[in-house]
Amino acid sequence: MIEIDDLEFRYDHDGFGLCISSLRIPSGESVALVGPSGCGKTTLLNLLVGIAVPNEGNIRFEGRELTRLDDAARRAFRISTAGMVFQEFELLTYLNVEENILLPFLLNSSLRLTYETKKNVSELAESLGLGTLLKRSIDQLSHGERQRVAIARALMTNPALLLADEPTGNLDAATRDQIVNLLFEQAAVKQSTLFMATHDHSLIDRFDRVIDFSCPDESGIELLRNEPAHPVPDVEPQP
Amino acid sequence: MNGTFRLAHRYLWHHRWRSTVLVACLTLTILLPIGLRIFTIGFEFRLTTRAKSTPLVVGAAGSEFDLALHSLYFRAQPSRETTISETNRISNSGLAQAIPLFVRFKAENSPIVGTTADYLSFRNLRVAKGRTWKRIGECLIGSNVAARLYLEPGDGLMTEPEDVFDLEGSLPLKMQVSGVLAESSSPDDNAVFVDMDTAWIIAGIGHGHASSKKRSASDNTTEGVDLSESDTLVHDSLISEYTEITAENASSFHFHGDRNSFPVTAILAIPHNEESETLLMGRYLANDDPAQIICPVEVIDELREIVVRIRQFFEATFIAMTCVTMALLGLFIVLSVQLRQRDFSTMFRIGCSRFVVLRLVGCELLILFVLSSLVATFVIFGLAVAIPGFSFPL
Repeated sequence: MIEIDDLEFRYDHDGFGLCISSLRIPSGESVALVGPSGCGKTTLLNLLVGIAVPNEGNIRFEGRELTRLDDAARRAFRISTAGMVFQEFELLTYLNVEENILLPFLLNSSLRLTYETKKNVSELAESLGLGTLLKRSIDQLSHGERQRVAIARALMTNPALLLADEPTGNLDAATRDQIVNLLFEQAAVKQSTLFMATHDHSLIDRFDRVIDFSCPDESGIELLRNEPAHPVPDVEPQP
Repeated sequence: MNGTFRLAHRYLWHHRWRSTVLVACLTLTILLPIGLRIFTIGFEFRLTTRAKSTPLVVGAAGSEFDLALHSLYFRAQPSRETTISETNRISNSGLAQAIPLFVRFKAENSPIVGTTADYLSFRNLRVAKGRTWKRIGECLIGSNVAARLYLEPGDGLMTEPEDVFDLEGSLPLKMQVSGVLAESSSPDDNAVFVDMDTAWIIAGIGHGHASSKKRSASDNTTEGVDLSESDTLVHDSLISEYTEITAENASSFHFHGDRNSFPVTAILAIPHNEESETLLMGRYLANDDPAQIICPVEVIDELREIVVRIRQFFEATFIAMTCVTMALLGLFIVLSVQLRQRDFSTMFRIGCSRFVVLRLVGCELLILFVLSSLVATFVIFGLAVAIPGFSFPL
């Protein structure tokens, strides 16, 4: 369960921010974040994993209060609990497919790189159709293959929280469907809570919940633009 | 750290040409000052060691540097020569042992050193193959000469004319190698040693009623041309190309004139004790003395000071160069970090600390520095092995 209460966040440089009085997302739910560019979808994703820290209010994940964690603890939470997929894939071109999937293990010593981990990489890559590409350079992959590598990297730590920031923005329709199917499948397999920021309204029927940033009354999220924060009414989880 | 090292290694390998250029720059930055220091220290060491082992040198008045370099390293021909009578003057004084040197000619680019057998024992030169010279026309060659020219005892070695345009000069002499000296890691390794008489014959002071030889074009066989009717050798370029002293004709070689006036280029004087040294040096104080005496250590010390000053100049240049290289490396790192900002941002969003980015860049630099140091070390050792002059002092 993700619980957000009385949250207010503002960027220092332009005053843009978000205000959420209350938001509850049960574990395993899939949530679509929709709205125009710059409306705060990525900001909310960043708040959920501790990249951004709210000025006020609380975010709790499975009862653990993220806002009370220090930077190191937030990073540890992020790398062990959250998997992130980005629109531009954000793969390191100097690493091969296998090393990109293993990147969280190379970056953070709290994750132990063992023989078992390497076995898991092979199994995960196989399940995502990357089994024969593990030693390939990123430059030799298609867009769809790259996004699958990014998804594999996000799933490698068995995250409870899977965040995808417009993951299909650079893909053709056929590849988009494959990638979305994969994300839903893998979220279901890992029992992860899936948050996906998207512009693509054709996808929203597949989600358990849709938070539309352009409709503050419905979403319960108020956008702040150089104005004092005004809390919005509680948003109850949809049935 | 293992993961950081792996990422750093993969990044450097992915950009291997760029990494190679960086390693090359860092290697040169490390190699040049260290290499210069080792080279100059080794050079100073050999310079002073040779000088220290040579107490006094007597020669014609003139440049002290030329005389020191000539007597120690067989380089820098003195502008004037002294005579063998100077050797007798030293010996007769009872103050020192005198060893004459006559170094004017070359054989296959190696200096021919006319001297006595005393020189070999003074320099502790040991015959590794063959034997020392027993008659005129025989020579003893240094180890480097033997290795360079593939010479063995019994082989021939031709002298070079002093001046190729001097048609009236003496004919080249084909010497016979009687032995090869053991390596001494000194200029003696590059020299050809003959006795004084042979050296004077090469200079044309002595001659014989000998047969000049004509070299066959096809092989090294020779054809005798009898010149016994003449009192001196007749130089006919069509029929005679060199002189050879054999057991048969050796007795016919002789010298005309006052033997005391025969030239020597330097005399090594080995005083019996400190007092003898002082007394001997006192005998050359007169301004009008055509000869001079030098203490090679003092002369070489002056030379060494010049070397030290040159080294200091280069070291100052290298410090400036190192600063420039480090500044450029710093610029490279800043630009590289800026270019990789997106990679680092991804790493941060995934969950690594900003400190990991510093550690990653530090690890890349460490790999580059370690590689450069290894390459520099190998190059220095390689140079020490490949270049005789480039060696460690001890």
